[in-house]
Amino acid sequence: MELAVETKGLSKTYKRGRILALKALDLQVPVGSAFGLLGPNGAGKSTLVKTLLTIVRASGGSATLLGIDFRKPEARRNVGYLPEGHRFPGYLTGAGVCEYFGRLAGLRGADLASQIREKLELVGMSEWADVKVSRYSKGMAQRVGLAQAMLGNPKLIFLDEPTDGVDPLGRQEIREVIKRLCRQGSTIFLNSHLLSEVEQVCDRIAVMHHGRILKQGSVREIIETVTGGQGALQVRFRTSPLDARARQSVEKRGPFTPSDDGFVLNLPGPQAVTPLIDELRAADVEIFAVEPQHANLEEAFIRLIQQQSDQGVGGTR
Amino acid sequence: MQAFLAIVADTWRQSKQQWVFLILLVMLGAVTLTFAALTKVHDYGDGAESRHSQTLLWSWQDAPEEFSREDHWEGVYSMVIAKQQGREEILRRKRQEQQELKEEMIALSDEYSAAKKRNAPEADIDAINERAKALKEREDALLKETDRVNSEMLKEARAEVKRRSADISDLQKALEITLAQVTTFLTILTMLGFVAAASGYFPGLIAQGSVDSVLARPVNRLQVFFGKYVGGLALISAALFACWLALFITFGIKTGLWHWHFFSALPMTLLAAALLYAIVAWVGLMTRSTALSLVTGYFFYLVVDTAVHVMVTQAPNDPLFADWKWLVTMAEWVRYLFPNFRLMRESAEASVVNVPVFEAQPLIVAFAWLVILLVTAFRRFQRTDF
Repeated sequence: MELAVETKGLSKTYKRGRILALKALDLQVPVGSAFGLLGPNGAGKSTLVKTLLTIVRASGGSATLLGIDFRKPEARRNVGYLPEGHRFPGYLTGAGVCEYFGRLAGLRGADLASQIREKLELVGMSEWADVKVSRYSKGMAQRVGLAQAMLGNPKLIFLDEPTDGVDPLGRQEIREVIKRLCRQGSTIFLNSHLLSEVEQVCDRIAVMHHGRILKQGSVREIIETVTGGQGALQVRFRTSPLDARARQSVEKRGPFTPSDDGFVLNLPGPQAVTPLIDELRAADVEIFAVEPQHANLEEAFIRLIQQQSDQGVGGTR
Repeated sequence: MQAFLAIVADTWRQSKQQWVFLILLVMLGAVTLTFAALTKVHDYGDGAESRHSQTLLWSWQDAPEEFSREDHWEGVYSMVIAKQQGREEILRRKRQEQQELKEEMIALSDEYSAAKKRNAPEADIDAINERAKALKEREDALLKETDRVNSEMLKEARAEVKRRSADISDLQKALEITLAQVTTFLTILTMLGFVAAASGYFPGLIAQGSVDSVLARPVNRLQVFFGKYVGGLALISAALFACWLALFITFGIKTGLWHWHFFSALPMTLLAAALLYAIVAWVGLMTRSTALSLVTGYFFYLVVDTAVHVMVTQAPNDPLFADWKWLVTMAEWVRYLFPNFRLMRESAEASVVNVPVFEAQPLIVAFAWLVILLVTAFRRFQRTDF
């Protein structure tokens, strides 16, 4: 498997080793994947990205970006980056920001000009291209940030909280841009605390806590591993009110939770659904909907962090 | 190289947006324009010898002042020549001897009072008086000798100036002194304005959220650091060069004299600007504060530099400091430890007046400071986690 990012024992300490921000991280991000890095505040997500980009100096271990030693400037030749809480120089316009970072990325001339137009168009900022960044709203600055990260059509793009400060419509647009980049073959490394966003955009994730990777894999793998949901099924039934007999019968089939418009039942597996429907129909209960309830990423994430806290793992100090 | 130039260009863009930088440019332009437009060539008249036929005046003047520009030129020239003759050291020693004599007199006076108090024999009192008389004679002789050395020095200097400037016309002298004056104005303005303009360059560069995007690009920190430094310096260099060129051409056309030595003041002025910028950049990198960087820049240029200048030039010679010997000793050290912008400026002026004296000491100290400041600031920049 070709890797866009690979770290081996990557670590970062502060205050002469007294604070461990990254603890011997081993991480693999395959080329072409949309990779999401999750973790509570202070987990070390941004530190990891900054370390990979040498904005923060690693204390130990090694890493490669697209197969090149991350310490070499060439490793960043095909890399784009949107930092969290960026502050582009207020004296530049949106197009000026793109021009500056485009030049730093090695673009020039007509190629640079056409890419600036294209990327600003893509993030919906063409009309604002000649307005100074100091006059932008946070959402607009974020879009320009995304545009500059895409300049040079990098093969690997780090996005640190890309939808931070963006309205819901804007978030949707940014997610579409990210998906489009994935389709074009770029590897996306997404840092976000918005779990639903990661779930929608990413195919692989890693969960980080106290400077270490707790789990990494596909979204489904992680949910199933953490929630222990393999085989078990939670089903929501929207029905007419159950009489006492029907309710008694349903309760025998598994853990039962009543709701305003029906009930939620934990069944041993999908094979148990049809007999239950038959039984409800036989008891003259009207069935409006049967919805399988999947454990989501948020639930898995919270459980994983709680498990670690219960086990007393970690602590960066 | 492209990344380096991109950072240089960005610094230019940043400067163009700063009102303080624009004010500096306007003031530099105003000084240049004033000297270029408001001076005229004055003819002394038909009877004058060709070498003394013309001089420079302000446009509103009809005749030269009593102390003309060429007199001023000769004054500056002879001071430098006097310095070159090395007599200053002799004078310094004479002043030191005078001070020692003064101390002996005071001690003798105390001895006399004590002798009177204890009703010492008349013979003892007479002996003290004899010694006092001898001391007074020595002091008088010393004063005469000092005056003689001093006047001899000036006389020789004047004679040397006359000899060396025999072929130099009054107009040339007036031109040289005028350009030396404009050098002074431009240098002071540059220093004062450039501190204000440059104090924000490095704190702005390393601000959280700003430096990240730059360092994430395929550039190394050396390019980023020196791109910013060279960018700022190149901008002020371009502005100063434009002023120099405008003055050179204007005065060349006006007088018919193309004084190429005027350009020799430019490297000195730029070295001073580079050093002050390095101080400001160093503080900016260490503290991340524009305000602190600005205050330090001005404090160094206005307060520290004045103190250093007083110590270096006044303390060893001025009798006012004679009682503080430690200050005189310290001044010797300070001369080699601290840069002195005023000495550099005086050297720049002297180079315009074309005096064949080159004072290397202030340049060496300034250059050493520049290297140390840039190396330590870069090491800090290189080792910082942003």
